[in-house]
Amino acid sequence: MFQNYFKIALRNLMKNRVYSVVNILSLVIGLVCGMLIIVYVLDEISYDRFHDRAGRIYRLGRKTETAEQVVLEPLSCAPAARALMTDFPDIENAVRIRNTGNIAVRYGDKMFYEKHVAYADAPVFDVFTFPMIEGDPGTALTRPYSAVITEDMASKYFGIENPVGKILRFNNQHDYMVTGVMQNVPDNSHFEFDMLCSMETLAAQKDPDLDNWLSFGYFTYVLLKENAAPEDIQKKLPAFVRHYIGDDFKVQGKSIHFFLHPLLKIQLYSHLEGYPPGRIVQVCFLSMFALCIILAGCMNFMNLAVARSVNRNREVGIRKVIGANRKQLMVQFTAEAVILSLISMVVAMILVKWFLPAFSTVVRQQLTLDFTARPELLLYFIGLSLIVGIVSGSYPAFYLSRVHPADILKGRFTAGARKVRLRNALVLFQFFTSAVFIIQASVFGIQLEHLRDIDPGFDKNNVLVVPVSEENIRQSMDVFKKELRKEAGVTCVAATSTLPGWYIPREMKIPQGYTAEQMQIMDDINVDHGFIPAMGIEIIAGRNFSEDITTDPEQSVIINETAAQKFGWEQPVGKTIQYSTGSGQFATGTVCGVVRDFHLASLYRVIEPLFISNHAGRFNYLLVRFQPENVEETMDRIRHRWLARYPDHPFEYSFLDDSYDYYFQVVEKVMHIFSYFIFLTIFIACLGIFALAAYNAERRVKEIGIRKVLGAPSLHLVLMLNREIMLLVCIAMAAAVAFFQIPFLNPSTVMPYFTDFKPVVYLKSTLIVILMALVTISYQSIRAAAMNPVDSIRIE
Amino acid sequence: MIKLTDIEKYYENKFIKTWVLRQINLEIEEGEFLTIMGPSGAGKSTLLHILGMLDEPSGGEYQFDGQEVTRLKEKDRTRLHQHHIGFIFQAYHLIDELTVFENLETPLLYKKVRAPERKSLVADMLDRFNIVAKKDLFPHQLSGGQQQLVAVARALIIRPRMILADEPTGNLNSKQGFEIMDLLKQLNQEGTTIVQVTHDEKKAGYGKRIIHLLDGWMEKEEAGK
Repeated sequence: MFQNYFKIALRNLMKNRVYSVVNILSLVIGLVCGMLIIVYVLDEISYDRFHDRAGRIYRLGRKTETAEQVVLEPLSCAPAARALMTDFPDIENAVRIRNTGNIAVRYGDKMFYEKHVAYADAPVFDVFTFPMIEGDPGTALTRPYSAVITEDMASKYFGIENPVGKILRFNNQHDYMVTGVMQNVPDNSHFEFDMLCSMETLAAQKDPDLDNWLSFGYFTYVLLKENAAPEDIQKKLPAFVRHYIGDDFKVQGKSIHFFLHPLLKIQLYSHLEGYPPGRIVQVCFLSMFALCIILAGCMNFMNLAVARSVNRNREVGIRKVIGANRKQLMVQFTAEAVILSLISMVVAMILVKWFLPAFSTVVRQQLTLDFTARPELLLYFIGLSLIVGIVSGSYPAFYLSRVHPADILKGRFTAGARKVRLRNALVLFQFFTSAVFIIQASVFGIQLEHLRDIDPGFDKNNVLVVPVSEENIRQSMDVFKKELRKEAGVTCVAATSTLPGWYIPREMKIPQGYTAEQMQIMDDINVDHGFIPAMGIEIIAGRNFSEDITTDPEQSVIINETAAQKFGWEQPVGKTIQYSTGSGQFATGTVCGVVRDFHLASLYRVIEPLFISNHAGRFNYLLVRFQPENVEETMDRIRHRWLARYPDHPFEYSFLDDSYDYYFQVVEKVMHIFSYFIFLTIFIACLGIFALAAYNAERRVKEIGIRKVLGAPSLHLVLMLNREIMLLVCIAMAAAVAFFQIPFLNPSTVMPYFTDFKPVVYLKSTLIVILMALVTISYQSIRAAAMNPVDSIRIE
Repeated sequence: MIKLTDIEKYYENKFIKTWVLRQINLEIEEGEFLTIMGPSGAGKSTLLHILGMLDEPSGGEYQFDGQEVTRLKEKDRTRLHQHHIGFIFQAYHLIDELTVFENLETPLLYKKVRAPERKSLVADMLDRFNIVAKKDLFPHQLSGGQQQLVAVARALIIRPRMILADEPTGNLNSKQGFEIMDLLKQLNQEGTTIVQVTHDEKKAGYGKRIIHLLDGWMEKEEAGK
C-alpha cells in the first residue's frame, strides 16, 4: 500500500516542481531550526550527567537575608564539610573545592599562567567521576603539595613523559608533585579545571580560613546516601547554622541560611548572585524561536496544499468511486506530507552540519553533530520530521478527503467560503509573526546603536591589562609602576582589584547615619591613586587618593554620585562608612572624594552605589594607558621591562576595550542570529504568498483572458489579482503594531535603558514588510497579466 | 436486487430549490441490462450516482438487497461499493499519475487484497483485454478507446455484481464504441447487472429495458431490441 502512496507522492512532486520546491524549502528551514535547537538542548541537558553518582550530589549554597534583599550564592565556609559529615548520617561524603586565581606554573623551561587550578579534598574522586589515567585516585590527593593534572596539561608540560612523580613549581614559591593524570574534564561540566591540588596543602600552610566559619570562599559538594532525602537534611540545616555560626551575622543585620542545590540542576537553573545564570532562559527562548519557524513552515505547506486541492479533487473523487474510504484517503495525503518531510530532513541535516559551528559560537557552547556519541540524535531528528510531516499533512488530508464524489464528477467545485477564510487566516498569521519579528529586531538594532553611544563614564580605549596574581609581584608593584611610567608611549599606570566590565564584588557596608541592621550593599573595588586619572573619571567633590597622604590607604574611601544620593548626603566628603574586613570585624573609612557615575559593570546594569578603597597591595590587575601611535614599540618596551624585573613570570596581557565589550559582542552575535531568524520567517512567509499568488493567477487564467479581451489594462489586472493578499498583509501589520502596545510584551518595561518604541520604527517595519510582499506577488501577477488572452481562453 | 421508492433530489441555493429528480420509482432485477435515456439536464447522471451510492437522495428510499442504503454509515456504504459496484464514466477518469497496471491495482488495494493475489488478478485482466504490452504506460500515452478499456477493466477487476456506465462511449469513435458495447453485453450474459446512461439510440438498444427521464420525472418505459 505504501509503495503506491510513495510512487504517487514522488510523481506529484516532479509534476509540480515549483510548488514542491516551495514546500520543501519551507519545511527544510523549519527543520534546520528545529534540529539546531535539539542538538543544543540535548547538550545543555547532558551537563554533569557523566558523573556516576550525579543524582546524589548536591552543592551547598548560602542564602543571605537583610532588610533590603535576599542574596543567593553557591559559597560555603571551609569547616562546614566535615561538620556536615559528622552531624548528618545521611551524608556519605563531602568535598570542598576552592578556586585559585591565576597561577604561574613552571616545569623546566615551560612556563604558563594557568587560570583553572583548584584545591580539592581527596575524596573528590569518590564523589565525582573523573577517570584517572595514571596514578591512584584513592591516594592522589591525600598529601599536601600534590596535584592531579589533566591529559592536556600533561602533554603541555611533559610531552610524552609520564608526569607522575615530577615536580611543578607554582608562582616560583611552592613545589607540587604530580600524583596522577586524569582525563580532560568533558565540555558538558558546569565546572572545569586543568589541575587539582590537594586541600591538605592549605592545611600545611596553616590557612586560617580552613577553620573560619565566617569566611565563605569555598564550594562544598555533598554526596547523599542512596535513598536519602535532601528535604530531611534541609530541614535540619537552620539548626546546624545556629549551632556553628550562631548570631555572629545578626550583628551585621544579616541572617544566613544554608541550602542544598542538586548538581543536575546547576547548569540550567542556577540563579546565583555574581555567577553566570542558569541557561534555562536561553533554552526556552531558542526553543520558542524554533517552534515559531517550524510552525510557519508547516502553515505554508498547509496553505499551499489546501489552495491546490482543486487539482486533486478529481483524483479524490475517482478514488472514492473505486472504493476508497475516508480514512484511507487521509492516510494517503498524510503519507505524502510525511514523505516530503523526510526528504526535507535529509536536506536539513546537511545544512545543520554546515551551520553548527556558527550556531555554537552564538550559544557559547561547543556543539557537534556526532551520531556515534549520541545515536539518539538521529532518532530525534526522524521524530521531528515525522511530526512536522503529520502536522503539515493533517489539515489538507482532512480537507481533501471530505470531497463528495458526485460533485466532482459533475465538474462542480464548491466555492467554499470556509476554505478561503482559513487560507487567509494562515497567511495573516505568517505575516503577523514576520512583522513582530521585524519590529523587535529594529528596536534591538536601535538599542544597540544607542548603547554603543552611551558614555561609559571612563575611557576604555588604549588601555593594557596585565594580570598580577603573585604575592612577590604585588609587593614590588609600586616600584614597577614607577619604572613603567618613565617609558615612552606610556601615559598612565594604575592598579585595580577588579576589571571594569567584569564581575564586580558587592559587599555590605554601614554608611554614616545607618545602623548595623540597615546595612547597604555596595559595589566594591580597590584601586591605587593612579586609577581615577588613568581612566579619565571625573571627580565632582573632594579629591582623589594621593601618594603623598600616607593615611589614604588605611582610612580614605571614594564613593560615586549614586551612593551619595542614595544615602542622602548633600556634603559627602568627611562622612564615614564602616566596612567588613572579613572574619566579622569592621573598620571605618572616611569619604575623601566623590566621582561622577561610571559604568563599572557592563552597560546593561543599572549603576549601583560604589565603594572605592585604596588598600595597599590588594591589586589583581595592572592597567597601562598607552599612546595610540607606535603601539608595537610601546608593547615591546613594556614586555622588556616586565621580563627584566620578573624573569620567571610570563608576560600576559589583554586590552580593556576587548574585555569590556565582551558582553556587547555576545549581544551583537545574538542580534545577528536573531536577524537570520527574521529573514527566515519573512522568507517563508514570502514563499507562501509567492506560491499562493502563482496559484491565484493560474486559477483565474480564463477570467484574465476574458478581461483582457474586453480591454482591461494590465495594471488593473495586477491590482485585482492581488488586492486580497495585500489587504491581508496590511491587517497583519496593524495587528503587529497593536501587539507591542500591550505593556507586558513591550521590552522597555523589562530592561533598563531600553528606549521606548518610536512610531518611526513601526513605519519603517511596515514599509519593509509591504515592500517584500509586493515584490513577491508582482512577479506572478505581471506575468499573468501579460499573457496572450487567446491562449488563456482556448479550452484544452 | 434494487428497489427505489419515491426517490427525489434537489439542490438548495439561498431559498431556491432546483429539482433534479422527482418521485422516481424503479425496481432492478439481478442480471438485468437497463438503459436510462433523456435530454441533457434530465437527471440521468444523478440517478446513476444515487444508484451507485455516490450521492444521497433528498427524499425517498433506496433498498439494495433488501437493505435500506440511505441510513447506512459511510463506512458501510463504501464496503458495499467495494464489493458489488463498478463504475464506468464517459471521461474514463483514470488516475493520471499511475500506470495502467497501477490503475488496475488500486481498487484491489482498497479492498486489502494481498500482493500475490493482486498481481495475478491484474495480469488476468490485462490478458483478457489484450493490453499486456501497455501495462507500464500512463493514461495520456493511450488512445481514447484504450483508456476506456482500462477503465472498464478497472471496474471489472473487483468482480462486481453491477456495473453502472455513464455514457461509456461518448468520447469514442463508432468502432471503439461498439466494441465496448459488445463487451458490456457479454458481461451481462455472464450475469452482471448493467445500468447505462446514454443519448445514443443505437447504444440504448443493447439494453433489455429502457426508461426515459424528462425534467426529473420518469416518463415512460419500454423494452429494448
